[in-house]
Amino acid sequence: MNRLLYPAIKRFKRHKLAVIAFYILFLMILIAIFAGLISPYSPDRQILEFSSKGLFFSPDVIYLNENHGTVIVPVKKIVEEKELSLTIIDFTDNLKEFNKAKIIKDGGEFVSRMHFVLGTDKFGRDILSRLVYGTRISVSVGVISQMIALLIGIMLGSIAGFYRGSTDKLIMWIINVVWSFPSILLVIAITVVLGKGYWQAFVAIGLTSWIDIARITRGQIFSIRESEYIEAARSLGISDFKIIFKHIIPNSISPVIITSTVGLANAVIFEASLSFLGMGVQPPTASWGQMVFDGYKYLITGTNYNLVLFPSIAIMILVFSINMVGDGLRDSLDPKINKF
Amino acid sequence: MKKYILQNLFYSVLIVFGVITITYILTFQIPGDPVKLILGQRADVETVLSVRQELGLNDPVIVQYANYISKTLRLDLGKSYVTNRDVFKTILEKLPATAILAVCAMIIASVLGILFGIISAVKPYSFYDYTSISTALIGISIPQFVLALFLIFIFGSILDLFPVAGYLDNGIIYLILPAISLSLRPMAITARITRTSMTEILNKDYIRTARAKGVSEFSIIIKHALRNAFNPIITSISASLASTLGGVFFIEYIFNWPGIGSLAMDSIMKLDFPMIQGTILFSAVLFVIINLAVDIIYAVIDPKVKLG
Repeated sequence: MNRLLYPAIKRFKRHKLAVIAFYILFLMILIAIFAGLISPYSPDRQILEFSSKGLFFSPDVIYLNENHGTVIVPVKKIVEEKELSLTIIDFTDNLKEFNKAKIIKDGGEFVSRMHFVLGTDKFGRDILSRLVYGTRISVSVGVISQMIALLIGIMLGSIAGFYRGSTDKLIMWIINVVWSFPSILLVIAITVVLGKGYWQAFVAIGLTSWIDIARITRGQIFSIRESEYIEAARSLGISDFKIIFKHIIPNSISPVIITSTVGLANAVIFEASLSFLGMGVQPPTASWGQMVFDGYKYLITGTNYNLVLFPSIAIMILVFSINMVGDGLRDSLDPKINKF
Repeated sequence: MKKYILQNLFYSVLIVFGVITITYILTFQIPGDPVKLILGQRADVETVLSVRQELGLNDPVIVQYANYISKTLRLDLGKSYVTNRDVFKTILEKLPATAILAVCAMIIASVLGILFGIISAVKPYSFYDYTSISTALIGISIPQFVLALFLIFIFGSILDLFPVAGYLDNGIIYLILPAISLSLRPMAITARITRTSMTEILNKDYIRTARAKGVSEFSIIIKHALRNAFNPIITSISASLASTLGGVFFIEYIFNWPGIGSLAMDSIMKLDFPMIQGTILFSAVLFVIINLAVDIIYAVIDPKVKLG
């Protein structure tokens, strides 16, 4: 295996853009896994006073230690500081007095400062934190739905390619039937059937994107099946199952991997599109498509455009990186194909 | 030739049968009681029972399925739960708007895609090449709804050049933004395929022979190369029709374009099942017909396609 893998890695490294894209993708996966550590604030915490603020918004706040947890009080101005209490003007221009014992101090100061680097949405939630958590949704939906697609696609494709005849005709018929539906509409229809939500999005996208994988696998197996080493394996009496899984699939896997990167990119787009329509992951869980939808109304009125801009850029970077890595894999795994 | 067309036709009928079955399974399995959707949650028991009877919901599944197929073949797709209008008629009314948008987008995509692809292949690794490669990559990577929003923002809000929502009644200018948003993805795919295919052909011996004979470069590219590179290009254009049909749903929804896409989205939001069923079925069957047409055109222009 190493003998085959090493030149492939070497060829991949020659494709500079693909290498950069690979690192970006790796970084995004890390962000998805460690979202809880990276995001500055909780993605769901609403501070209505901070609704729809722009970039680098850094307000002063007081953290209060109440019985049911920490409460954040936005501070416009400190009016008076006494020995035991602090009087402030809050964002609704009301005077408020707080017991100093209840305030959680930040580095010796009673008043702390929050930093919303990318601004806030209409509920006053931190956009950066929501973006970070949204990575989790996009990456996981992409990966898991592609696993479902690979499982179904490789299985049906290899059965069709190996047995040919009427089995092949039946499977090709299924493939052509599913292929006839506009895939996004089929995804939407399946989510309507299964109900909206996280798992439904995986299944719906997975159930529609196995087709290309099945086609490619079938084509590969059609040609490999005729080769002499398969004939040799057969004459040795090895079972069909073992021939398919041990001898044919490993030799036909590289075009399948390349196809599945395209599928992965499409799955990310599908997930974003579903969420944009409100049919994917349900609020308050943050997802990029839904963030775009939330900001869409502001875009038309020409106010807070960063609500749309940042999640859109995030989607594009992720999809672009996946496509570039796919290109790099195509060059490195299949040296016969011309560059680009 | 006749045999080839008949064979394809027969296969398409089989596919349509499968499409109807899947649509039936999908909508039959939808959770929730359709009767309650029609009558509202607080309908009295007698009305519910009579409507159930009327819709045939009390029959065994297999009878319902057979009824569904026979109704569908008679183009009776039922009535909308929301407007109580005939589904098939409503879809036909919305068809022209979608057709205009999709055809315009496909024309833009094919012409510009092939043009960019040729330029890239003729001048590889030049400024033009890199520009069109990166445009193509961006075109593939950007979701259509995001692109539509960007176009609305740049040309609608900031520059105020084009109207952002509305239909042709108000002028052809309303077509521009939706058509462009819809065309970028197929354009990108076409450009990439054209480039690959043309590059391969331009390196062939007969091109070198033509050059040696002193044939003009223009005639080499158009007559000798493009004609031979055309096969994969047509395949990719017909394949991207699928993604265009899919993209129509978002684009129409965002630009408020009164076509089948808006109709489908609207009925999904309102859980209007006969309409959802109808639009899904209609677009899938439309796709089968388009594919059949492409296959036949293919066989007519390219004698290399195996007949029979």
